[in-house]
Amino acid sequence: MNKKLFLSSLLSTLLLQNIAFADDSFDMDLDGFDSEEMIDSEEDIQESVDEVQKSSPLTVGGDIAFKTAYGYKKHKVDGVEYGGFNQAQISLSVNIEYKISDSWKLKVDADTYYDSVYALRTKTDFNDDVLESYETDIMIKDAYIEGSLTNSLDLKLGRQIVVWGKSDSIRITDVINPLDNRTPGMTDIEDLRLSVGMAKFDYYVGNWNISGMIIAENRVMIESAPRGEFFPVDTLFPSAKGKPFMELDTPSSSLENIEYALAFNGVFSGWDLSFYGADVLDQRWHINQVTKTREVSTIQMLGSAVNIATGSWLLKSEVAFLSGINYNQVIDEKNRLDMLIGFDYMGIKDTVLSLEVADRHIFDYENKINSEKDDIQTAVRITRSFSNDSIQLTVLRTMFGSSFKEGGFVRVWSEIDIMDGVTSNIGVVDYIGGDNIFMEAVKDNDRIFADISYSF
Amino acid sequence: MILKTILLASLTLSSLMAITGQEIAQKVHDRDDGDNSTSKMKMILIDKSGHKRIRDLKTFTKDKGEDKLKLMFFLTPADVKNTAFLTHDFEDSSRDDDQWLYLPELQKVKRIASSDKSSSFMGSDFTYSDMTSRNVEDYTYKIMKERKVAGHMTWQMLVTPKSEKTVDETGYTKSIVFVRQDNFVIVQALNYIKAGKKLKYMKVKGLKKIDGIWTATEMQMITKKGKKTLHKTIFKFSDIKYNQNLKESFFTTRTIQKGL
Repeated sequence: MNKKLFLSSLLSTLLLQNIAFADDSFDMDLDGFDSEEMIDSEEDIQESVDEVQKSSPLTVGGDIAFKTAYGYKKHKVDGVEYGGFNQAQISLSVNIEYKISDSWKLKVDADTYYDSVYALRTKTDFNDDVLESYETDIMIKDAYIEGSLTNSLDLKLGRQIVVWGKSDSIRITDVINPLDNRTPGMTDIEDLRLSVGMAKFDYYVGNWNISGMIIAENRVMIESAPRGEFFPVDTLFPSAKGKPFMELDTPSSSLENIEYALAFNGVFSGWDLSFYGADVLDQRWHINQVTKTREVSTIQMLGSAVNIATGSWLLKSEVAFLSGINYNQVIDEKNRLDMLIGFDYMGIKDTVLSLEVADRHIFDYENKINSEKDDIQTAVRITRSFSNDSIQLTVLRTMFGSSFKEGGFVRVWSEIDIMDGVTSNIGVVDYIGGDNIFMEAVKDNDRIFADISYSF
Repeated sequence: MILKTILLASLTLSSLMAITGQEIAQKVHDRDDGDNSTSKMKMILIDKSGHKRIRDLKTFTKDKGEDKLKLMFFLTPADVKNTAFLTHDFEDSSRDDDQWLYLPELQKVKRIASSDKSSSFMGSDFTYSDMTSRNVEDYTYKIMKERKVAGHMTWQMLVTPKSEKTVDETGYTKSIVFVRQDNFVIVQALNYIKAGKKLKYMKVKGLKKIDGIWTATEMQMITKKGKKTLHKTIFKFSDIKYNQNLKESFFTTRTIQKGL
């Protein structure tokens, strides 16, 4: 009897256990495993992984792109109307990489473009500077050899980009490479920096990397063409009206002009810390009040940057003390303290919210300087991915001044993956005028832009 | 005799059922998943209209005590080539993983704040949480039933996060997992997504014993809303090798910056 009772209760328990979990809604959901939508095989997909790995030491890649822009506000600069279609550019970028050995490789990137809008607008009298800057160009970007001298020591020799700092939208300690300023507000940070020729040594010890640079190429910024849409000289410098604008005096690449830079980068669990020191060319030109020419001077920078990841927040801070800075309206060189705080917030699915605020404080300030004593810059960036990363929408707003009175710009664009290797961008940029004389001068340069590129 | 047979069968069943969900989860977690491994990975992304995007990657993993170091390099297509992703995945659930992304177009290693793992992993239907091991103690486990999947007996278990924090981090309110009884491999899982009443169906389509380690060679994840498929992802692994003598110094930002 006891045996029967035990057996019966055991079976009941087991049965009840099953019944308790035989939830109809779960079963309905689990039917999804049996639906025809489940993929059994993908025979049509080639096993290209093996092919990729069997490739030769030489790889050639790049992209072909078409870019166009439409200025939706009529405005004239130097008598030229920039409203309407103002870009129809075809560009080619070629990247060649050759793996010399397991630890050494050679890389060369080159870009060229031709903008047919200047040929199409035959009745428009663009000045030579504009045509030289925007109609066509060919440029060697990166060109370097890179490898390991020992287990702990790397060498990278040639034209290259070195990114300093932790911020993404505002540059504080990122002083090594000059900038391409031809279309300010339109160029995202990946295309902004210009490579410079240098020997860069990286030594690794524990969590630290010590990076030393000897910069032999005195490359300066590429600026907007004088009397072009982004550099209305006659508005910015009324005294220059009717005269050829001052030539830019570029320092030669010589032994006396060699630049130096040193960085200590620590990577730790949850945080990163860097210290920087540099004796490099300023990334802006100034007018020499004595010779009345435009010059690029050497500046000295000591700085630091830190990243702290906590939860969904990435906190960023940078500080840089710069000396030897020249301003247009004054003779004496000035010192400046640049500081930045900011964060990335990644707690919203497929979204990154970023805020960066910087203050550039000029010491021994003189009222003649065409910049605030404390020049505040704020950048807000929101990026969100849709449709499994096939569409990425970004909003970037950069404003100058403590109460945003200096002006700025807002750019909204969407990057769309059309198919593997084919991407398209479409967006709009709105320049906001204000007390800043430059932003006020370019406030009508608003445009809709689009591009399509094929990567190979 | 009949009584004895029923009793014996019941006791056998009972002894099988005697293992708790927690113990199964622990055995899944503790299962040898190899060390010092390298593999090639193909990621196939298929949208609802059948349009495919294919990414090829090279992956490296290494155990560091209880923690796991992972490196992934994108090989194709051309527009993402040389993008690299480095993770230090900590066993301690109170510690956020360290993650860095190298984007070749920026030529910069960027740290990623990683506590939210509900975002899509590189555009796939897998999330970052799917790509890292879950902490056993963060969930409750209930064995729902035993069921055959692809000819193998499995435990069907309801896995529920203990806290809202875990739900927020993973994006899943609960999961039903199917654990093979012979090797403690999760061969199927249904994940309930917190937002949008969507379901995600994971299925291991290929499973091989390599160097004595049960290894998934093909996995798929399908995101559905109701009966409608929204997106599918297939991961195919090949050239899987274990015990490759990878050094810890390989799993650093130096490596992702220099590339393969």
